[in-house]
Amino acid sequence: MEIRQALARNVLRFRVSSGQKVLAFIAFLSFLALSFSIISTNKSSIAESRSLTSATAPAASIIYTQRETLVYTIRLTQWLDQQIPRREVQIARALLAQRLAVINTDGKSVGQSAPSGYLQALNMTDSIVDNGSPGILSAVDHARLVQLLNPEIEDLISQARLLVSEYQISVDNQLTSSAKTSRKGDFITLLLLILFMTISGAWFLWITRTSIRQFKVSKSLMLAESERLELLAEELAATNLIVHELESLNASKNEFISNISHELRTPLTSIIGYVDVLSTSMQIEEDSKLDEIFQILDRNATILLSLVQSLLALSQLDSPNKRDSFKPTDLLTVTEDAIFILQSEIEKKGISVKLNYKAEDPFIIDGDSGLISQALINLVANAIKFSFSTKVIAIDLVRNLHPDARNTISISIQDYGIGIPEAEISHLSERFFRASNAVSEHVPGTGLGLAIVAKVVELHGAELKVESSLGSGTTFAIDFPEYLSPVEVLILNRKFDLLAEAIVGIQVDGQLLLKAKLHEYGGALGFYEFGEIGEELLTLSRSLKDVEKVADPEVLRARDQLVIRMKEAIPIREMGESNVE
Amino acid sequence: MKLDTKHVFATSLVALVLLLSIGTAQGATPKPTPTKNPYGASVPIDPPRPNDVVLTVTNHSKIVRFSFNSLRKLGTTQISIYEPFVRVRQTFTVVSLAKIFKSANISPSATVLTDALNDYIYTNTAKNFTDSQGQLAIARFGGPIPYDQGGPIRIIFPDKSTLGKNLSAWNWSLNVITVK
Repeated sequence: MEIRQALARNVLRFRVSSGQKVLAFIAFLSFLALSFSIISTNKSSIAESRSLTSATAPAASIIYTQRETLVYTIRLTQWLDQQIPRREVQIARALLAQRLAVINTDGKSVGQSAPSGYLQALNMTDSIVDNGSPGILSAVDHARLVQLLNPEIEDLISQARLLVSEYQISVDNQLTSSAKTSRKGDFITLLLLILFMTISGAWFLWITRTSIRQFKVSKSLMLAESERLELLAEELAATNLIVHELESLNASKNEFISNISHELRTPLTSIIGYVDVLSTSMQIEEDSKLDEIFQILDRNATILLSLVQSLLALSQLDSPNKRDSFKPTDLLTVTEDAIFILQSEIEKKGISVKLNYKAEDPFIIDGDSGLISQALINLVANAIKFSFSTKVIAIDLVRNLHPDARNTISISIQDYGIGIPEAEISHLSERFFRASNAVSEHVPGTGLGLAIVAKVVELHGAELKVESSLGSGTTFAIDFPEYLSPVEVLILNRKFDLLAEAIVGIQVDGQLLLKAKLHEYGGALGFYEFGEIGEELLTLSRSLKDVEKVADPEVLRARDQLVIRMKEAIPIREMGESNVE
Repeated sequence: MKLDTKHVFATSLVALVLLLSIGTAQGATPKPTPTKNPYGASVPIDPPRPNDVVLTVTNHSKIVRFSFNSLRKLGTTQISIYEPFVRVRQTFTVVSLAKIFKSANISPSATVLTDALNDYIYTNTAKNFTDSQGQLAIARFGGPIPYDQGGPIRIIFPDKSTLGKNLSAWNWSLNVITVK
């Protein structure tokens, strides 16, 4: 028990210490912080990549703007060199304007980001080009415009360079700031990761160490428990051996008692016979002293014979496999036989025995008629012995129908004798126990009669009930389970599938008989007459072989109704065993 | 019949307006949509005339030249799209690129090179252009598309189309389509 408790403490109640809980909590917090840091770092990475994207798109726009600016200045120069008409310049200028108007990812166009000098230079060139004559320049225009445009072109180019450099500085600052933020975030994440790994690693090691220690303790406890169980097994084996020896001794004892009883009964019977012969052949009426001697001889010899017979009966009841001799037994016949056996006693005491039963009822039980007869003789003989003032004994045989259980056959023997003290009723089945008032009233007896009755009742799975009232009498009642044929057992247990396999319907003289091969199911081979419900039983049994129908509530209801009707029709008459097949 | 000086002046003015409007109808160049480009030049450029060549499609030896008139003959439709460069919704008159490719016998598997007036080039297969329902815009809000706003002709795509998400494919001021 102590080992079990220790096992329960160490194995079933695996506990984490407070320190481990605190460490686990810190590990959890660091995990949360790490997660938060990773998420933040991810966010800053996303922001960084967005800023890179937002830097890339304007960069492309600026490169294109640069290109368009160069194309425009080239066109301006070509126009000034009188190589192309003004429209070409205007188209180049329009394409540059397209590029300046494009709105980037930051929501601004290059035009908005351009230095004011760039736009001023552009406007200056516009006014010069707009005022120039359409088509190829005239010589006059050429001279005037060269003077005006050249410085503007140079200014435009230098401003375009400024556009790039300013953008470059802006992007550099942006990326540097982003990189700084990112580096800071990465550093914090790294610190948190180290913290988390350290704490969780320490916690894991601690838990593992504790677990290993508990495992070792549990293992040793289990080994101890195993050894204890082995010892118990050895003890059990030794006890079994003793039980076998005791059983063997008991069997020897029973055999001895049986043999000695047989040996004693024969000379005792002879003694009683000769005492009877002597008492009747001699003129003992004249000699009262001799008559008393004969009476004492007869009484004691009879008591001795009764004792021997009771011992013999008990030894037989103690022997195993008594149920092998069980067969369908008519309790009415056995009862009538018992009354007949005791007829001389009944007449001697002038007692009236009333046997009550319904003539139409069957009283078939499964049992050993000899043992039942012995029990009934004991009970009726007791009733005779204890009936003093009221000379009536009532024996009732009743068949009890139980709709939802096995029927019973009950027999009760009621006398109106001296009764039994209530406190002693529970001791009646003990061997050699005698009621105190029986002893005081000098009623002869061995104290074995009711012990035999109780043993017989137990052997038959029956129930013994005793009701007694001092001075008013006693009623002994035994409830026997009604005999069921194997077919009936199958029906009452709703084993219709087995029944369907076992029975075949045949018509004999227009009446349906069912031939049941029940030896496979613990019963004998034979014919059973089912009467009117035979046909229905056959049909239902066959239909219930179908698994799907077994699950059908309608079929199951029909089955239960049929069981109830069949119970009412029980017993189903067995038509014999040997004359079939 | 005595003519009132005031009446004569008014009649002359109406006649002048009528003459001018007739001249414009016959004459030749439609006026461009007033520019909204804040960085454009103050003097707008006249758009190409209806029969001027605005697009040259070269499929190896086969060369097809399109003017506004010949493009309109291929069949036009109106579509409203979100213009991703200036970020406003605009309505364009378009000719599907599928029709243009068909007129030049360009197979779907052919690699097509689109070339703008500023020599900007974008390349993809004809099938990808047509799968994304690529269109050639020839007018905006019923008028010519100004040069400083991607005109006179440009490639556009319907909202949520595959190539529409790729801004490089939106070639402005388209000049030439060549099969590689």
